[in-house]
Order: sequence, then C-alpha cells, then structure tokens
Amino acid sequence: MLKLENISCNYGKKNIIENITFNVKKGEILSILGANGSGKSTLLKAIVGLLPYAGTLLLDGVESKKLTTKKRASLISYVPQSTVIPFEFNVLEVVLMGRFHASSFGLSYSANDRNIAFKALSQVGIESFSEKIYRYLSGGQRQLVLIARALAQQSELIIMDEPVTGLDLGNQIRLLDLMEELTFLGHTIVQTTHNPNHALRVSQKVVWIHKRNILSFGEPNVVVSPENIRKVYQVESELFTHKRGMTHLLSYGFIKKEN
Amino acid sequence: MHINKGLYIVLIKKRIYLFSALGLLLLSIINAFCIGQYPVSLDEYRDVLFYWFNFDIDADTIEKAKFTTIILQEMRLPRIIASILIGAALSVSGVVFQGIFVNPLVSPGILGVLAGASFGAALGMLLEQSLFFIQCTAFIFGFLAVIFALFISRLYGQGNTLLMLVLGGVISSSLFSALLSLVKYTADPYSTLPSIVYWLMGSLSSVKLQSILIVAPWIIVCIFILISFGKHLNLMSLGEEDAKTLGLDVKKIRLLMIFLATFLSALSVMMAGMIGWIGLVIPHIARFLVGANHTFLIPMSALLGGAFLLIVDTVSRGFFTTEIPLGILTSLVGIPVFLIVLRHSAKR
Repeated sequence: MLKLENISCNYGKKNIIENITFNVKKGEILSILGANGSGKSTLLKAIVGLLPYAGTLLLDGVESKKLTTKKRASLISYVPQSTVIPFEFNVLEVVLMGRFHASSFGLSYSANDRNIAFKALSQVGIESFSEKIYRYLSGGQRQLVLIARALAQQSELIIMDEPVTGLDLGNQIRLLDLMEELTFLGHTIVQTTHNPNHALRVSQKVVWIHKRNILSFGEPNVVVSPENIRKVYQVESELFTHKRGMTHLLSYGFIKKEN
Repeated sequence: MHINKGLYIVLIKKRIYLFSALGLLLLSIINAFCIGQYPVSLDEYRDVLFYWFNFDIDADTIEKAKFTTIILQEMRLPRIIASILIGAALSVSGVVFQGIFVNPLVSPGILGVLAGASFGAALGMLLEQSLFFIQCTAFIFGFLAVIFALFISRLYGQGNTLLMLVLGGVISSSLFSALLSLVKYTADPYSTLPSIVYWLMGSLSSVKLQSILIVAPWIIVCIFILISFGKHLNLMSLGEEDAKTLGLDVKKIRLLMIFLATFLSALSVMMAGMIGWIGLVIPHIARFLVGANHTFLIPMSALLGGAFLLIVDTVSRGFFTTEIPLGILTSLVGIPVFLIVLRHSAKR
C-alpha cells in the first residue's frame, strides 16, 4: 500500500530525515516512534505530500510526486494534530470538506457526498452533534471530527499525527479501538505516537526514527524493546506480559548519558 | 439521509437570514430613492413611470415627472447603484482575504491594494485633472502594489508562505503610503492637496451613470465567480496544509482568489476613494449570521455590504446640510455595529 525507499527531506541545507525505507501492507497499522524533534512529523508531511522529498515514495504502486493534489487526496488522508480554525464551521461542513477531491465544481456537495459524510460521522459516533460549531468543541471531539473527515475522503490510507495527544484516557482507548476497527474495514493506518504501549497495542509494524535515520523497523514485540527505549530516550524500561496476553512496557529511572 | 433536528434548524435559519438581508437591501433602496436634498415621494416616482410609459396624465404632472426623471438619472440612480456595488465589492473582497489568510481580522488592504490605489489616485490628480485618468491610475497602482507584495513573498517564500505574504503586504503598503505622502507634499496646497485629501476620505458624489455601467458588470461577475469558488474558499480557510491534503491546489487557487479580491477592491477605490471598515465589519456580521461556509457567506456579505453602504450614503445625503465623506461615516456607524456583534459573539 505504502512503500518508502531512501526518503530524505531537508529544510535548506539541513537534512531533517535521511534514507528512510519501510513499507506498510494493506490493513496494517504502522506506528512511528521517536523522540521529540527526531523528524516523525516531517516524515508524515512528506508522505501526505506537504513537503518535497528525495527518494521513492509509492502510493499503491504510483510515485506520489506524479499524482495531482486531488488524486493524492483520494488515495491518502491526513489527520493533523487538532487544527484550530478561526472560523465557525459546523461539524458537518468540516466533514463534508473531506469530499472535496471527489466533488464536481459547483455550489454545494451532492446528496451522495452528504450521505458519505453522515456515514463517516456515525462511524466515529458523533452524528449527534453534526450541527455544532467545530471550533467550540473539546480537543477530543475535534480529533474525532478530523478522523470523520479523513473517513469521508474514502481513501484506503489514513495518516495520523499523534492522534491521542491531548485526549483523556477513555478517549485514548476508544480512539485506539476505532483505529483497529478501521483496519477491519480495509483501511491502512500510519500514525506517530509518543506512547510505546499504544504502538504495542494496535500496530502490526513499528518504525523507530532516531537522529534522522531509521533505528529499527519490524514487528512491535521485537522492536519496542528496552534497548531501543534506552537508545532513544535514555531511560530504563522493562517489558511485561499481561495475563490476557498483551505486552506492556514500563519505563522508570533516568540513566546517565554515556560519553 | 438522516438529518437531525438541530442541523435542519441551522439550514432554515441561514436561508431566513439571507432573505432578510435581501429585504433590508430592497427597503434601503426604496428609502434611498426618496431621501435627499430634494425629497421625492413614492407617488412622484409613480408619475414618472406613467410618464415613461406614456400613460394619460395631465401636462402639469408631465412637467414635474420630467424634472424628477432628471434627479433620478443624474443623481439618485447612479449613487444608489454605486453604493450597493461598492459596498458589496468591499465586503466580498474582505471575506475572501480573510479566508485566504485564515484570519478574521484581515481587511482588503492587507496586500497593499488600498495604499497603492490611493497613491495612484493622488498621482493622477497631480498630473491631470480628468476623472477618468485618475480612476485609471488608481486602479493600476492598486494592482501594482499587490503584485509587488506577491513578488516579495515569492523571493523569500520558502517556508511559511502566508506569513511572507502578510509581510510583503506590509512592505508594499508602507512603500505606497510613503509615496502618497511625497505626492501630497509636492501637491499645490490650495487646489490639488485638498482634492487629494477629500478623495482619500471616500465619496460617491462624483459618480456618473456611464462609469457605473462600465464597472458594474465586472463587479457582479467577480462576485458570482467567487461564490462559485465557495467550496475552495472553505478549504482554504482551514489553512494551507489541511487544504492541500484535502485535494486543493492551494497555490493556483490562492493566486486566483487574490486576483479577484484585489480586482474588486481596486474597482471600489477607483469609483469612490477610500471607504474603510466595510471590508472588515460586514464579513464579521455576515459570518455571525450565516456561519463560515462561503457559499452562504459571500452572498450574505454582498447583500449586507450593499445595504450598509447604501444606508450610510443615504444618511450622508439626507441628514446633513453638507455631505460628510463616506469614509468617516462608515467608521462612525461601523464601530458601534461591530461592538454589538463582538459582544454577541463573545457570549456564544
């Protein structure tokens, strides 16, 4: 579904990420882990077409650079970290904007587009407040609206930038469950996260980005390891297996940086 | 399709507000026809219609109708059409600029079009007295100022293009304000300088029916094109990144929108000089009533803007013995209206 080969991005002369190579198969969730400023968000922006890159980036086998903006929006949708809009759009209007790439030129969206938007709203369980003003919602609700908008795009691939940031515990768990549900419906998800446990819980593959490069790439149970945690965050940690079979990582204690 | 009740009410409300704005505009048109230095009653207008269509009326009424026709053609009609068009143009231009810059505090002058047009008009007055020449220089320099701002943002526009555009506008505005001061400084203090100053305050008194008929189609066409790009503007007002990932070719559409909005404000300045506040206040009021969806917002702003400037112009013609420049009145009337709206929107 998504394949990256030797992707590099730079601002001016400064390289932000270098030689990133990995791939995601249909129906998988890939989590990108890494310290603050390691280049996770930059990588996501390159994937969704917001930043220029060097290397090969294949979306469904097609080089992303060659796609028009509209075509790309039909293949890939992006859930940014909760956007603040200074204008008073209602929730339905925001979600309908997900249909833009498929809508024809004209004043309003078609009945079909509206149906898709309503379906997306009910998929994330927020159809009851479709007339509420987006900017006055809580952070968690806004996040759900943006996910609904991505669903309305009806793209297979969904890219989420730290989707659980700012959500309370209940909403975090609900969001993770929703992500799994979406993969059952045929979506592929790439997310960045600061919580290794979330990566362990939902993803089939994990990428560690460290100092502009890939530190490791593989199955969560293998690469979310105390060694990698130590390398990236300089903290000690230990893996536990819960009696239900879930693996959990507990971090503690700072270690002194080796010279 | 399962629409919930709240959504249904919202949709109905928007349509009611739109029709009310249309009603307000029609009322203020009727009002504007009657009020002035020479008040004309609706009955007299009826006689004019009878006269035009050769109804059987007595000679005395014909004489009077002839006189009213002159007032109508030479004074009332041009000003009424002009104030509606200019009010609509400035408000729509404001809405579009606010959308593009993802900021509700932006006014049409952000890219320097007003500063450029003021300089152009002043320069025109310095060089030649003909109204047509002055209008041309105002329009041309309005556009040049925006092109200059775009050029600056292109030079350094690698990172945050929106910020660079704002900075380009600031630079361009101050350049043309400085040039305007230079023109004022060199202008003859007894003839040219007062006319420059008076022009900068904005007025519709020199508007002629012919020049309106030239400008009107452009303004109307521009507004309709912008309405048809409502969906694009909605995406644009989420910010560059969101718009792009949702499938909008941001650079191309933004340039087109800037062009159209600049065209609208340049036309309005060329017709009536500097009329402030409308481009900022009316979009706010319209957004407060119908929400941020540009498909509704642009027509609403056009109707409200037209009605607002028409009312202000009628006040300026009818209630003072000497005409007060429009720029002054729009601010004086605009500020309290704006404060009321701010108060209400803070309550939400």
